[in-house]
Amino acid sequence: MFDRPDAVMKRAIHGSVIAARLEGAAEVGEEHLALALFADPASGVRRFADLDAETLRDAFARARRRGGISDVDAAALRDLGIDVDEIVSATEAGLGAGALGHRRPKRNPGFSQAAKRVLMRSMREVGKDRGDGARCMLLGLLHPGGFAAGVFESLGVRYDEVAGHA
Amino acid sequence: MTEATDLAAAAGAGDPAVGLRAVAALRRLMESLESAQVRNARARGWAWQQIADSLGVSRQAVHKKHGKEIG
Repeated sequence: MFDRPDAVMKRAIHGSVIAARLEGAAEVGEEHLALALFADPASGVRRFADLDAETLRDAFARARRRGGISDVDAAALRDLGIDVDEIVSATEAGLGAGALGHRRPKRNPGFSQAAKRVLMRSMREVGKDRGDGARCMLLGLLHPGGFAAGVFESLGVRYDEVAGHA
Repeated sequence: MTEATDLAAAAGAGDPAVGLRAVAALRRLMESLESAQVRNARARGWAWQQIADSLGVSRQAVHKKHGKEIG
């Protein structure tokens, strides 16, 4: 038995590639998958996480500028005595604004390793009969440890809650 | 931001979930720092060999990792 992405997932995957290209990104990343999913009004993903695309975009941009560190990541590091914002300002003072988020743009960006992992996990959720594609894709993005998961968690959206959502 | 800070504080310093998240985050931050510093070194005319020596790795390793992205 093979599990296939449904129409919502296909649109999100397609949308992520277009978004990355328009932005001139180096890779199609987790954030492009997330933004495409939330930018699609027909995806129904907001039944599981009521975030608008703008809020999500800002949170990803902030985390990207900090070198891939979301707000919850930054809080965890603060517990270790590491002030990420200080590292970012010191680095930007020497190397220029946005130095930690910079990637060389590509004309035809491919999926990043992390984005591939998200897609694999989303397909695994499809196999577990977790409901429609929007939810499976969101669960793939929320899988603990990932970059997107930290950004979503900073906005109050967690894997366990979405997985347990009736 | 404050919500996230409270979350971490409430979890406590001994919580493995917080500690492991910090390690994973630190690894991500280190990768970003490394590529920013390597890019700067190349822009200032450093040879790959010099960069590798400073990082304590082989020239091949640093070139394989950053060569495509930075050139």
